[in-house]
Amino acid sequence: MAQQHGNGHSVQHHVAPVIHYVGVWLLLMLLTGLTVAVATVDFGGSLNTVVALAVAGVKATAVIWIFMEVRHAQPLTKLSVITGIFFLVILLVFTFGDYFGRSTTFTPLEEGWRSDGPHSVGTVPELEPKPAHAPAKGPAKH
Amino acid sequence: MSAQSHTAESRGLAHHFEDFNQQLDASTFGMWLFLITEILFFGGLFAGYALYRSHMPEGFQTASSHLNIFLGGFNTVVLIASSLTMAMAVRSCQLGDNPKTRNFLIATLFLGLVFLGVKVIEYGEKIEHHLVPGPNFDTSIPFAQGQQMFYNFYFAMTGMHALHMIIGSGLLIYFIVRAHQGRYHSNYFGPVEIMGLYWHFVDIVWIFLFPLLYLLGLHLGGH
Repeated sequence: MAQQHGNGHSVQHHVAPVIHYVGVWLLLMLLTGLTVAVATVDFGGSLNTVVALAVAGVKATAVIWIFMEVRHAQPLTKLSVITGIFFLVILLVFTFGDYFGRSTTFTPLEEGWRSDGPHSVGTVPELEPKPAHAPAKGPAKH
Repeated sequence: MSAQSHTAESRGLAHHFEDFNQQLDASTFGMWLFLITEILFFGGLFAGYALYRSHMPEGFQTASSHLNIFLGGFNTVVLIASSLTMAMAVRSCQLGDNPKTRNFLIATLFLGLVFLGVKVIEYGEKIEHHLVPGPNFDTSIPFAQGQQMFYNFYFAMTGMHALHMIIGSGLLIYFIVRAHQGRYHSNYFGPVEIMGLYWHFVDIVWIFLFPLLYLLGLHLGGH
């Protein structure tokens, strides 16, 4: 699509019809309604989050592809978008792989940060309501 | 080429670029490089959110159900509408229509300010109810530790998002002035297009923030 005139004239670019943008807007509105609707359904476990992220992913894709006009962008731009998502996936997969796949006794909370000390994953009881003061360091209260 | 550097057709073309295509390609690439760093910046926040939420699910769910879904949903609709007006501003600019570009940018700015205004109301409620992490946090509420951690992420993520909106609003004012001055033409619309990339990115961040922050307790009848 790009033409090398070398004189600063006659850029050829794609001007999308208005209906494309209005269409994406309608889609985003519908999916926002869907986001709220599916949040009221109990899919069980962490499936609710998976569903919510899937809907958000579709919305984000529509914004990137149509609103940000990546569909008409040069290959280098498309490669940049894919690179960004690729590194995001590395960040998330490696982080979760480490935190959730390592020892079950690991906790992202530093020892002593909680007043009742470190716990193993999945068995962490929430603290009982306690008097208004900063979390105390040191041994367990109970 | 230098003879043409001041003609109306080449107005806006920097001297080190061959033509407008090259200039636009270069700035689009540069903007996407910046957006990659933004993706990873917010990605880090989302990763931290996921880890702590997996550890304190009750606290996160309880705190989430205290957020105002109506205001959050309203803001989602406002931000999506602002993305539409932004896309329309870019389109108008590609056609060289400065007045239309200006008007769509003003609409975008207005919607952005509505979003920030609602955010102020929401933050005000949290301050009032002592739900801001820190020494004044209300520790008498159930799952206080987990709730406080949720609000840490709530304020960090929506705060960074709001900061991006504030910066974006400032940039919009600049482009509104430029369009009002009639600076753009059908070959020179790149700056507005780049502005659009930024604005749409900020919209995308909110698309993920809304369900992850506001809707956690909904299926449990928490609202």
